[in-house]
Amino acid sequence: MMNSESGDMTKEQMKTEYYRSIAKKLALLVVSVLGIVLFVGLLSVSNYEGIGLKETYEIIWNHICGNEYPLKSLEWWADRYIWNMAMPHALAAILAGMGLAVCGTMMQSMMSNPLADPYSTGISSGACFGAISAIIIGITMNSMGEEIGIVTNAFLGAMIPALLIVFLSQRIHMSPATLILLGTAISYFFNSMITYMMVTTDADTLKSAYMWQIGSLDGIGWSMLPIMFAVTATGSAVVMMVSKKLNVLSLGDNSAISLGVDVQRFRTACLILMAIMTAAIVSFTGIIGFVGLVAPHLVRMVVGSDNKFVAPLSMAVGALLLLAADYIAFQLSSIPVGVVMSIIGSPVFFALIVYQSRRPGAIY
Amino acid sequence: MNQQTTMIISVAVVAVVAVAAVGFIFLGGNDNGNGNAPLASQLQIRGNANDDYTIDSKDMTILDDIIAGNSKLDDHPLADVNNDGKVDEIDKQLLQDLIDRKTGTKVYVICIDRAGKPTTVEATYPLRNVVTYGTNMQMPTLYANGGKYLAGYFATTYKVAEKSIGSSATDLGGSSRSISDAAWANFTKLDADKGVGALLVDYSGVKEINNAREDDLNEAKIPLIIYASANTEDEITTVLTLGFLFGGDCETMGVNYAQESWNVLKKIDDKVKGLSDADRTSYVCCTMRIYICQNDSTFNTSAASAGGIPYYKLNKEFAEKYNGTGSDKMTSTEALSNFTDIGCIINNRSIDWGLDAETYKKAVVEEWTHKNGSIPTYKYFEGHLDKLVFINNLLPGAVRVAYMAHALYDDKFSMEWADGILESFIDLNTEPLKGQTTSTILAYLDKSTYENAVA
Repeated sequence: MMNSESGDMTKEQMKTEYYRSIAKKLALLVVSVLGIVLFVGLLSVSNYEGIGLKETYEIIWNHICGNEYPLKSLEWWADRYIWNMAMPHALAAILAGMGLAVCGTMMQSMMSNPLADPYSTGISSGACFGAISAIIIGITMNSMGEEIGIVTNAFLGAMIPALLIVFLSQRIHMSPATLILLGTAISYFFNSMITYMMVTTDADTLKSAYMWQIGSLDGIGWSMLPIMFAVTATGSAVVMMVSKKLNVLSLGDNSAISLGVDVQRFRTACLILMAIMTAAIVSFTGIIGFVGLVAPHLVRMVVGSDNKFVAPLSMAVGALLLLAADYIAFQLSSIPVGVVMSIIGSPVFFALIVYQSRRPGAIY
Repeated sequence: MNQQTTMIISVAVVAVVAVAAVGFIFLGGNDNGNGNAPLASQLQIRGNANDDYTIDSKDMTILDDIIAGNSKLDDHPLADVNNDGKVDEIDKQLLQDLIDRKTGTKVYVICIDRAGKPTTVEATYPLRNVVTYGTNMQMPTLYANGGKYLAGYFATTYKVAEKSIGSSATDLGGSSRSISDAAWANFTKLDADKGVGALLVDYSGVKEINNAREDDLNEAKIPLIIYASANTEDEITTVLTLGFLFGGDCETMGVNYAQESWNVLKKIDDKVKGLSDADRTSYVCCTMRIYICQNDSTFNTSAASAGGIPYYKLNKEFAEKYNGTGSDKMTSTEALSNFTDIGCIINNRSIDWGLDAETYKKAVVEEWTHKNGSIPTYKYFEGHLDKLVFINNLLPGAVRVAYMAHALYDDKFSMEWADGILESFIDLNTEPLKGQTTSTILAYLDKSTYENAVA
């Protein structure tokens, strides 16, 4: 496609390349949105024989229009199931997928490290520690009941590593490598505390604690969504607004400083934002891995590394990934979505690494 | 009066006194007149105004007295049949329908809510198409011979003990410890297909009925009946009440089961009630092989019915360590080593029955040597092995208490006596025990049972 004499692209070629690039982005967005709509329907159709995908969309539409079904009929139950269980479940998957993916995008750019994800700074271990201390020891920082106590503890637990890193970043030079190493150290500390609590508790409590650790969307209701939505929407909007700065930061600290970015302050602000977003998600869902790691990589593979596009598209792909995993988990009955996400995520991530290693000059 | 007349009168007086004495022995005391112990369980149904084990014309008399102003509702709260705070002709009509055991009658069941507080739930008599959740609710349902009225269940773990669940009942999925969203969707589908008459839940599994699910039940008008039935006396009441609700032969079974159970409890009580605390055998209960039951667990209260004294009452260190209502896993084989003066360790285990000689032996060896991680169960009880017994938790509560009584006081309650109690329950023709014998059920296991099995 190059001009044979100079090696440069002609105007026409550039135009074609530009349109192709736009088409790729649009295609990825359309595929993700259609996938999300499809999986929301599939999650809702579930086990109701006689109510297929088409009927499910009809029920959703009728509910929106205010049409009601006869009491205790299959459609009545399906309507209740869809709106009381499947919808909050699916919306939680969408919000968690979007939030974790955009945090992953931010983290990888901020750290200039393709292996970074929202949990790299020890947030997941902190959240686990908070939640598990509520489940096992019953220590909660909230008196409003067990479930809210767990959520509050998980949130506050997740904030401990974040605040510790922010505190340290004011006192020592905080390179990306230092950040990740600190995160690893914090994770080890919290994991040891978690292990101690888990080996000393009874089977039922142990199971509850372990299930929380794996990550699950079961039992999520409408009441839990407003916080997730508010934090994810606000956080994602901020990430998109600073996407240009993230592009600069992904070139490395020296380049970013030479281009006028206050690296230390910007990184600290990003860390705080990411900690709040991740904590708001994992405190409700538990630790769901791989979304924040894999989604940005998948997007970069298709649309390149510009965070202006990677951030929103990662959100769409993250939501799709988590919904798909949730659907598989639902079909396998009682398998937590965190397990399915890991089963899907690890080979996908493996394949991405192998594929990208063949692309000369690829950063991610 | 001549000598002959005096003699006749004397003989007559002696005869009368003798007959009265015999009558007192057989009919008197706490006995109810037919050789049975008083049936102390109270039917948990509104309309049972006199708090006995059934609903009959005696209850109507109380309602009439309250309406006539001769008696107070406060003294007979269950006289308010429809739970509207007053007793009137509507209550009388409802009660009459219940006395007539009329199909389709609204029945107000007393149970507990999700918070464990007493509540009243409206259902339709007789109860049909029920769904059970939790072993401690499923077994009482089956003991009341209600298996044929099950429309579905969330989990079965014990194929033989639970075989009386009707073949048309739907396996809704889930497990003994959780109701997944998919399992709940199956439950709602079952209601759409067949209509669910009630959801019967054991209190230990009540967490699985969250707010959204309770809303589903309320909207669909499906009664949620929750009982805590792990304790023996509660289990008897649950069987009695479920039997009444199912009606017909189930009601008869519920009453017979309760009567048989109270006969056992009374026999035990009669022999141990004179014991001082110092003479009572202390016990520690365990569950899931190596979990120590905390002080206020239901296993502990059941063992108290067998006349023992919980060890925590005698040992402050133990009491502080195991304070609570749940259970604590033993983190090392030394967990009990400081408590050398425990009288008896009662390990509550659920073991399916229908065993032959070979599987019986295997079950014995498995219980004794089961690897917890890499450590066999018995290792956790070194120093206490002579005091360790396993009792099958699937058995009727009174049978379990009988075996506990044997474990605690083998001089007062022989093994043959405890086996006889099991046989008497088998003879009741309660469905889960049908076709079983003392040889097909591993009811009780101690060190000598294990040694015989491996010999």
